[in-house]
Amino acid sequence: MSTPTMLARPAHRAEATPLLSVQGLTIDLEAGTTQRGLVEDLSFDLAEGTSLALIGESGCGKTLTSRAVLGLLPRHLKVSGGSVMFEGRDLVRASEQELRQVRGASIGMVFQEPMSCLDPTMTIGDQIGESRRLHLGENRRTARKAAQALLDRVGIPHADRRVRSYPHELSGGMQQRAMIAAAIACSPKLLIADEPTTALDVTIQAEILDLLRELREDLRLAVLLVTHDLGVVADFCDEVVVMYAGHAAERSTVERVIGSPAHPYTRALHASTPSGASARTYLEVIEGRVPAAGSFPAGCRFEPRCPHATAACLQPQPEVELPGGHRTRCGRVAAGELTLGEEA
Amino acid sequence: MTEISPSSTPTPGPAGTASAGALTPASQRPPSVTRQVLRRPASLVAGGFLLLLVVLAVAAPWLAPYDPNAQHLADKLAGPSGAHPLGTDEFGRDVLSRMIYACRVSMSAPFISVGVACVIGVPLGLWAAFRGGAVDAVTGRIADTLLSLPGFVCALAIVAVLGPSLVNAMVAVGLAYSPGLFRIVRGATLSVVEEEFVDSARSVGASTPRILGVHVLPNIAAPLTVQVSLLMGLSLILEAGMSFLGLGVRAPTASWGTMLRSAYENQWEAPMAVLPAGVAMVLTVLAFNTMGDAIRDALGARGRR
Amino acid sequence: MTGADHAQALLRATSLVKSFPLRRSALGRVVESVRAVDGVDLEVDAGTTLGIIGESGSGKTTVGRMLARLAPPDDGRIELAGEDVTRVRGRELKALRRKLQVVFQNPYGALDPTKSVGHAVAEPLLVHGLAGRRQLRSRAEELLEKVALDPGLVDRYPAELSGGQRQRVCIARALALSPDVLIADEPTSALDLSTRSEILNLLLSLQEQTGQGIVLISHDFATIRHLSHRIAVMYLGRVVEEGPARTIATSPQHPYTQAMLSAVPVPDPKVQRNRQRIVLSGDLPSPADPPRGCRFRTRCPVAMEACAETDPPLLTVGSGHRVACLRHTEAAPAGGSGSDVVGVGRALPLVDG
Repeated sequence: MSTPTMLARPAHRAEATPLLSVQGLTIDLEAGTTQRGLVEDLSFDLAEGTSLALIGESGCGKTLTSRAVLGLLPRHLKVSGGSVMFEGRDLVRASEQELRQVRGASIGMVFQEPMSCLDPTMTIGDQIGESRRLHLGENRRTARKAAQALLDRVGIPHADRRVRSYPHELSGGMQQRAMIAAAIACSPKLLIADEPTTALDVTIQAEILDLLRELREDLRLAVLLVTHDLGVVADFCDEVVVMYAGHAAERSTVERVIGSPAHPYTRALHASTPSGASARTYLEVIEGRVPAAGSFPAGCRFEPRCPHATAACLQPQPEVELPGGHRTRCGRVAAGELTLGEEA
Repeated sequence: MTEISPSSTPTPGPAGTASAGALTPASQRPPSVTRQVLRRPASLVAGGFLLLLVVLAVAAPWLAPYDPNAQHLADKLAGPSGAHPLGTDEFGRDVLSRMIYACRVSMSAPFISVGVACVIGVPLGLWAAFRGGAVDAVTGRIADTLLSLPGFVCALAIVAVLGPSLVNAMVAVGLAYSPGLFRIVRGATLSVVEEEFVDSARSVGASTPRILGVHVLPNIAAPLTVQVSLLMGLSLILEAGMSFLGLGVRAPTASWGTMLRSAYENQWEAPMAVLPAGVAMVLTVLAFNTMGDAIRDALGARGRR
Repeated sequence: MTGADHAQALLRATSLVKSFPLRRSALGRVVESVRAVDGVDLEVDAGTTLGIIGESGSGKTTVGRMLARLAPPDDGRIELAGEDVTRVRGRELKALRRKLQVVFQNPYGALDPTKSVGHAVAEPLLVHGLAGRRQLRSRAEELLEKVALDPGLVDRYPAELSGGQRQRVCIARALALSPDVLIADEPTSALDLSTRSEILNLLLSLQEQTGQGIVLISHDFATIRHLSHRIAVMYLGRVVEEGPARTIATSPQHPYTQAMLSAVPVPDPKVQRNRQRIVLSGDLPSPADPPRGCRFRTRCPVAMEACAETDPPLLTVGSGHRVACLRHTEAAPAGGSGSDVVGVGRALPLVDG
């Protein structure tokens, strides 16, 4: 598989500032007062060529965050605080026109359900070429040739024929590859992938992750991966932000978060996940359920379910940096009162 | 991973404890269908109007100022006056009294025809969609054939055979509408039948009639309600049409259809005579539709997951 | 753990076949069809769990539906406690339902939204005439307690409950008739991560208390591994490997099982990044047109020429362990040589770590 020159990256940039820097991001419901802090005070950095995972279960705000980066929040939600710095520009304050220039060109996005994100009435060649025509001004023929090369690059066999296929003619794994091809069509520096493999079989998932790894190396692509699967995070990502009910419970490198978690939620999640070693034993149960958007607790949002909660946890918990760059929102861990133990 | 002893299996009572965020509190449960319908001003008005018609129909002998068939030939085709607030028709009959008595026809006719349509269309629709296969194919084709004939013409043909009367006319109308209702019920059932709770009912051994009656029918209540309310309005219009042609209610019985007929025949002398019956029909059909929408919305809110 | 030779399995299925029509002629005759299940044998012993794992197109859901008698098999036999129940209808079918119950996949769709929780849970008793109207409520409350739900929930509606609670209601409903066998199709897939362990624990404790046999169907190996005594791996309508759970997890013999297990990511970066993965080539073939010979050969990393000619049967390669692969011969020396033949190093740490 040859990498066409049009996809080759120019000379490396300096790595001083992170490619993407999210600081204090807060997302609220636009009109009402009840649903605030759907995402609250979220910060993380993503360096060029690295990958960061936003992990959490449904309702944690990870998808909202990924949409907010590109200004794709649904109409009734808005960013009410914080910034999203990308290439020296705050995307939160950017105009719709500026955002349109960024989308597809410098930032590509891949979604969970390829079948609902690919236009069934357009050939995949045209869809992949669309952003090239839009951002690079190519004409239809040139864009189609580029699309073919991209299909080849993402591992779709018979690319010359597939360029003319419609989405429904492809399998789920192939559709996802096509979507990745569309996302990287203009050689973006950042790829946002929202649960890209959740709907796929595990063998196909492994192949897609391999593909993303290759692209990350070849194109020095930074990847922001939204997922709920800790295994995928362990496989693919350098850093991880564990999200719970709109807050970043903890964030650090993958090794540290998994090896020595600094938040009871992370530890509990890991302990309640079945694995080979746990066969036919009783798993830990996290009592209660994820709070609904309108009823987040004022202090630590995990407090109602946390086995280590104290009265102090009812107060708002700021993010604290532990030695070594590990950041946590658990006041007790930060104060050294609580150690959560190492995983094997 | 340490083994956790079986005593730490989940204990009962999460509903009562702090994690009662687990349940929607009673105050947030969707209110009953009746309450929701009554809350909307539009449906309140519509419901009130229909109720008024029912009251008029039932209490007509006490509420009507005159006998509806009594002729006051001296005052033929008179305009509104103190004695006859809505005027008189070409036989001198008081229009207001006739309007009140006409409510009896209008409030019973749609029920007869919709009743007939439901008795035929609903069970067949449920069964055809559930069984599928040959049953569905055959009934579907029959329904399609019947649908290709205009309802009104069908009703006319049936009445021509059975003889003109209100009941015959309404039965005819009901038969004419049943294929359409069958289609709607079949369509709605097809989507419900795919749901897992139908499989669940089968898997506990429920019989087909039970599944259809207890599980499918309540879940198609929303589209069914809308269709029924539309049919009520249409039946009313169809009844009026047939009475207009003299094939339904026969003169001198008061019905909005016959009143429109007499207004039509005397349109040069009394052009406004068409208004009472006409406006009443428009308002009634509107009321049926509004109630249907309101009930559908209320059902939708209740059934939402 | 007894294997395929056990005399009296609680539930036994033999040579199950099921096709679905793809195209019909104008008159309704089936012109093209897909064999979703093409000859599957399964067994479940009392008090044990059989886990069926497969990816899309494997036919595992169809097998579950056939076992649950929701879809009639085109061919094959199903026996419950030695009795042939494949074609029972009417009253006998209804009696069968009392012994064999289903927990459905989607707690959001498996409960009638217009019926209260109490109704849902007690309906099986009503249908089978096992309780009078007066007793239904108290029986419903008992059942809710069995699944660790507040009995006061009888009057609530499914829309008011969380996913985890709804799934428990489904389980309570399945227990109402005290069945011998429970068929659970993806019981936790639709649930939040932090509530999955509740349901897994519940299924575990129920089995310990009642001695039911459970057929667990899932695409998630971790769930299967956690609950199963035995595992059957399905691919394109066939069982390609089956055996004790531990054996399948630690020394799988079929190339597909090995590839699938190597693809399941382990949430430990040190382990995961150093794993050797077996990469499958190509896409899943269309179930309507499976490859000649061994179905897996088009993606198999170690396919031979013979694989295109012969459809490998399931052969016993260890105690209670069967594999359908030409690279294995009957009762080959346990473990070692099987792995080497397929070229997978012993250093391949799988889900068990």
